[in-house]
Amino acid sequence: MTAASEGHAANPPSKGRLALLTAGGLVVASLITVCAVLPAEFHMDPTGFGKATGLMGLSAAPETTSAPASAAAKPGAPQILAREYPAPFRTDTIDIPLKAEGEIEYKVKMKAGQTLIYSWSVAAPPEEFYSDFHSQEWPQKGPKEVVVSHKVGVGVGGNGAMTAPFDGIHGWYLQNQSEKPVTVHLKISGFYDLLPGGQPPA
Amino acid sequence: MHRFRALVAALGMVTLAWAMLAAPALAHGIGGKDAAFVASSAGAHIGPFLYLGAKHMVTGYDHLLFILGVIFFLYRLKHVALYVTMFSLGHSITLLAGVLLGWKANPYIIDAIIGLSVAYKAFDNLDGFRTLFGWTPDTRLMVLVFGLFHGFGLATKLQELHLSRRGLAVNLVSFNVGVELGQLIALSLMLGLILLWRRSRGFAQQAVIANVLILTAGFVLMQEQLIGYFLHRSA
Repeated sequence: MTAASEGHAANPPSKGRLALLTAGGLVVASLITVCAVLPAEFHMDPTGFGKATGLMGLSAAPETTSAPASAAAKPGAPQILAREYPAPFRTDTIDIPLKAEGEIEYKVKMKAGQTLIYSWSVAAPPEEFYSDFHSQEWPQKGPKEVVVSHKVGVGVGGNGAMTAPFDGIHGWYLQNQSEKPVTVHLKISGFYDLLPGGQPPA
Repeated sequence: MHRFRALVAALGMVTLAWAMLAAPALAHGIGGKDAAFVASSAGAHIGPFLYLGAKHMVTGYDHLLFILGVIFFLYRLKHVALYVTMFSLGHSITLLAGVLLGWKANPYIIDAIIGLSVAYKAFDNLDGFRTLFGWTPDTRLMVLVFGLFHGFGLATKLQELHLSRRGLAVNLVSFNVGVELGQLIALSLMLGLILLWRRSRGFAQQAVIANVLILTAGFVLMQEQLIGYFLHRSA
């Protein structure tokens, strides 16, 4: 190869051929976009190709599986809106101190179907407090640990309710990313047992 | 016979492109447990961020296609080094400055421009600017400018993950060094394959087809991101 062709094709196509190739590329690209990318990524299927090839399933899937396992709300099946428990509910107010850049797991023990409601807040910079609200199967039944995350991200508080998807420990991983010590104020009510020190039972 | 072999090579490339398109979520952003790690990590974590930077490059087919286009017809190692440096310089500037100064852009627009960069380089490889307009923009400058956009894309994606300010500079530089390492790995692999390919008899003809396919892939990337932009803007 000569240096003259460095950086470009040695045999560039002629004007007419180049225009044809470029237009062809654009047409093929548009066909791929309309036939494959639209159904697979955006769940739109103007040509019917996505349905015929099953590509529509790619974009529909997340909507049906992203709901936490606890929801189990099959369309048509009556959702359980009321439950009864043998003992009265309890309420706990807990202050959880965290050192600068400190972290802790705070969890309670619940059986499948038990419900709690919660409110928590912390006086920290909103971008510097990370939490992961999750349920963890306990005792572990198989070789694989089952964990379901309910809410993960940065933020300085939350209010909500959760019905335990399985017997286990349920609660928050809390991480102070700021350089100052902070205290998390947590209030929970419902049907659960406290764990000593917020740690999993031995 | 040549024509037939070129057709087979072209079909192979189309299949590959198709396979890549089937998994864009995997290939593009930083997702899943990696995203969770980034959001939950405060303080300096050199190793993990090095790895994430390298992974982002090696699995980011939009970056890879652009690099492939850039080196496609470079025969001298000196030139490979020059162009890759221009690209690295471009994306490092906007990656570092973007995150440190908190610049954010619409990720769809940035990704559409990255798709455009792929199409641009393929068209340039076909000598399309000279043939159609009688004038070719300076390739070194264009690679630098598109490098800026690639870096801006990286910066936008990293910031979506709520990076902690603690250890930010160290993590960011680690990520950037990782990006360069990943690029070096991908580059060596592509350069090796292309050197082998050039020795085959049909290369000149196949190279034209390959660049038309890269051009096509660039158009697809661009269209996908533009659709994403318009759909999510109205939503």
